[in-house]
Amino acid sequence: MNAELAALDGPRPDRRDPEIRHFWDGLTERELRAQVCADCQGVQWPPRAACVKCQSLQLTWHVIAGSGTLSTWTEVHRTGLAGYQDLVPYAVGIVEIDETPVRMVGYIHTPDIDTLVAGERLVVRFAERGEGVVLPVWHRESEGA
Amino acid sequence: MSSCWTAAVTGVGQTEFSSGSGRSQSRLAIEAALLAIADAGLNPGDIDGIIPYQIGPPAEDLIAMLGLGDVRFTAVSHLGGASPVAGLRTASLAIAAGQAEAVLMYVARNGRSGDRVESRVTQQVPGQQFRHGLEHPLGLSLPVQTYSLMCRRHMLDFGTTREQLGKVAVTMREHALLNPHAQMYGRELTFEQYVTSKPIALPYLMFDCSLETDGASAIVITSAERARDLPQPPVLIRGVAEGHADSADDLSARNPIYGTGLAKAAPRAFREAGIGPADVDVALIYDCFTFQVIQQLEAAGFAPLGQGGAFVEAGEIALSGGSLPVNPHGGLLSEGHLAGMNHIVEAVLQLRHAGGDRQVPGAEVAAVTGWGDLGDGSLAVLTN
Ligand SMILES: [Zn+2]
Repeated sequence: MNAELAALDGPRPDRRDPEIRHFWDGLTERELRAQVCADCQGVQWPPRAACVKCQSLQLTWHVIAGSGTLSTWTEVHRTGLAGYQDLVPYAVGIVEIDETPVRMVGYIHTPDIDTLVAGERLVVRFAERGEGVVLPVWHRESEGA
Repeated sequence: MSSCWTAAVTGVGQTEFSSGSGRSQSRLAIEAALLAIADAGLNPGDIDGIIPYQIGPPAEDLIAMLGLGDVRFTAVSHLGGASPVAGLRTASLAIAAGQAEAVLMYVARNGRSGDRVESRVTQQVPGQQFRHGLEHPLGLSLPVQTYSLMCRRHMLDFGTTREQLGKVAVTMREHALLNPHAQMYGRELTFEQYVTSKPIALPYLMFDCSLETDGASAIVITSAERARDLPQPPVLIRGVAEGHADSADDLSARNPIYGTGLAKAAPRAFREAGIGPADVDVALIYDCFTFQVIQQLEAAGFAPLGQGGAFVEAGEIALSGGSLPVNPHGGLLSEGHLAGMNHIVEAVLQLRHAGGDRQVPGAEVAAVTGWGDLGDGSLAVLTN
């Protein structure tokens, strides 16, 4: 599964980033996590140094659903990103996560990009990249994900 | 209203636009600057304020090359492609406050032969930690990709079509065929050529994308009062505003994703000018990609939300027969990508009635938009 991404020699996240590292830490445990404000309980994405609703600096991380719907996407035919150059054409888009107001960028795995439709159901899978990096990969329910 | 700080564009200058200048960016900048200063009827020593673009030769380079002994005002308007239009306000405010008398603004780049614009944009947009931490590892990195996400969603919500995107590209090219200065002068573009061009980031094809260009554009701004004593007919800066999209540094949280700061800036600029969108004779729209013209026609108030595509399809943006001619010079799509400084230059030429074969007859009011840094928008209302 996800052999193409497992073999990817692409850009790696900075695991020292004080906000974003929690997202990547969660992925190594096969969890999708988002930032939650300890004061107003607002869920926010992307993760920031302060809550955008109440400006609290007390921020925590919660596990969110590993499923969602496709909002928009692009079919990439040209990229400057190492590794991804071997994968074109591929789809990357915005996924609206179930049960929480989080919309995040996601790589969408499908052999059939032409048939993607807005609002279709997606499920996250995890692709081991080696050296402690696990990528979230969105699969289509319609393809038996 | 705006009269308390009305400034004017008194000089414009540009190098040729090409795919290989063979010269340094500093050389391009000084060439355009000297042309603009001469056009204004000034001497280099009259310049006492400089607003460089956020990428390219800094103010100090121009201070040195122009031999300026005491420049007392510099500023950088850091809004990506919305910067030149927003810079018109920075310059106006500096002049109104007595901080400068003659301000030089310029964009100079070897966008084609040097570092590509798109790769530099990728490094300059805000939220770099999100770009590097949440997008690049997942395969999203270039402006053409993020802008196509907006285009797709607009197509889904409002039925904006491939034909409408193509109409933008073909119309800009038709305009460029009337402009000897355009990089694409003499090179026709049919809808058939457009629709069969290489896919880059679908829905965007190659001809949905603006040109990577070598060249420079510069302008000189003084007070409106001083402009009256200078040789060129003054072009008055009547209203300028900037705006920032919701979730200003990240697109994923922006809903709808095609929301833009221009929708906030445009009413402010028009109010300041005491002029409405219906009064505009010629619009210079920041056409980094085809859909972004449709998007900004709506955000600026020229077409209702969701109707920008139909507006384009009906021919309204064409020089020939359109109710709102857009980018007579051919725009970033077909004249060249000078970050929209060339849009300001074109607005000035149109309001001087110096547009040659592409002149909008009797143009008195021009609106210029800027777009950059993921969602920053700016709009200027200029009159003659
Ligand atoms: Zn909060």
